[in-house]
Amino acid sequence: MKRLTVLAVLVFLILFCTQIGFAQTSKEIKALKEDVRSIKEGQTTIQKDLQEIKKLLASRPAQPAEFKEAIINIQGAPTKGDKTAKLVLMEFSDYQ
Amino acid sequence: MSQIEKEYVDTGKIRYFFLDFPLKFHAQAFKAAEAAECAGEQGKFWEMHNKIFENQRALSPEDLSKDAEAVGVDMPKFKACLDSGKYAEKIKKDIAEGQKAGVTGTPTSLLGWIEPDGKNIKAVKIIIGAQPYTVFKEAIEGLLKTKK
Repeated sequence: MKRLTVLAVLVFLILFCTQIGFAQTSKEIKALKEDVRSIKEGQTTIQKDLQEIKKLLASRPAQPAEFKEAIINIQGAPTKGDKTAKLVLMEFSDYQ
Repeated sequence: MSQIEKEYVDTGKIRYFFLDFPLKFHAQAFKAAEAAECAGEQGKFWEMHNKIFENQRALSPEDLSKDAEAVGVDMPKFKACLDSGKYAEKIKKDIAEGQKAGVTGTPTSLLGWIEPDGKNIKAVKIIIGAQPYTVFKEAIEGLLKTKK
């Protein structure tokens, strides 16, 4: 009879403990799911923001339209590239 | 510039010119431009040009001397050149050339066609600011298609 009681207690304990275990794991999973959801939400927000930034950048004109053709004298200017090339890129820059 | 250089200058599709445009409120920029020209007198323009850009925050006369020493120019000659201010007129001329095309800030790039005299360029497009490579690529490709 004693043996039986001990056995019963053991079985009870085992069942109880595993149930706590289950309960804990499912709690953790729930928390993890919650985390994943909020991360996903955050990502969607970031993506939306990025799209908006991209749109803004694209709509910003790279240069004003009022440029008038001009003849630029390049005598004495340091140069690179093939001397027979017809198209020229002139860069006006300073060192500061 | 490096990618433009690789794709278009090194391949012979376009030619590149550097023009000085030291801004008035950049107090040390003018002397730096002169320093590059003085190194150029000894065949070291691009070396000095790159060196000054590398150490852009340090442009005092001592810094420019250090840069010149680093690229290996003859120092007495370099110093004499810098002190003489002999390139001041050339730099002022560059500024005036830029102003003809409406350049007000740096960097500003102009694309154009070389005139038959080889001394002048008919600028047809302006790119203001340090725009990404794709902006230059688009402009260059567009112009290369119009004329050959």
